[in-house]
Amino acid sequence: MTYFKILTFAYLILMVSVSSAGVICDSEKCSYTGKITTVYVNTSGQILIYLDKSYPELLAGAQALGLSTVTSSNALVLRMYADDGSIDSKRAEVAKLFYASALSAQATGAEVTIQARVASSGYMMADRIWLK
Amino acid sequence: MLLRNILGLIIFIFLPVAVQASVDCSGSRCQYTGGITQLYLSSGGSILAKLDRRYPELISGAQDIGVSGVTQSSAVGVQMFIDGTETEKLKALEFAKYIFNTLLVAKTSGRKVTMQLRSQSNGYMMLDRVWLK
Repeated sequence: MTYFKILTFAYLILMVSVSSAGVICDSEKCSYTGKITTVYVNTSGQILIYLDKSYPELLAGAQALGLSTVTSSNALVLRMYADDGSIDSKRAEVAKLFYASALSAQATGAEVTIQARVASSGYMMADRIWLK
Repeated sequence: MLLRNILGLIIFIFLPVAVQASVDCSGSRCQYTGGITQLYLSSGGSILAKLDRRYPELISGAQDIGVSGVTQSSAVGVQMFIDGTETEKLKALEFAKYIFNTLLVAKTSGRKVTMQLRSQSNGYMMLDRVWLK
């Protein structure tokens, strides 16, 4: 019986440490750790990175950051061009490498951590990525 | 039986050598050979490659080759955007893109790289050449 208890306890600890996927927001950013299920790109230069499920805490976190326009809880956005549609050469270059990272993570099932600090057209905008 | 024992001994001796990652510093550069455990990119154009563990010898070795200010022992970097002439900026950006793609393949496929490091930025050693193995 004691053995069974120890086993259950070990299992619970393991489950907590394994299921590290999720969204955490603090006073300056929201951070997602988990897999990327879908990657989307369109001719307007918008790239969407879909999370493994909807995270209501992403909306709550955005609200707390004063980003009340965020309505999407299951995707982050990346933009190739400036917000007004003009060319921003730095953003364009970073977007290409960011997209390559997201593409690779999606294709291999690797975990990522992505941080977002600002809002853009209803989404939180990704600004850093760790490919794990 | 004896042959098997000898074979086992040889594998036992050489396996750690074969799988070991390393950092060594001499002349004008530090060099890392091993895997990339994480790859980082920021909207400001900073790229970081996380090494397989901490290497205190990277900090002491940098000092030995005359590169001061290195405080990070478990990651090295590349900058997409630098200060300089238009040509220097363009070359740094093009190089960073090639490096990033190389590191991405190494990370994704679990392959090793050899990277050479000759300068410092924000406490990280900056890589200036890479071999994908």
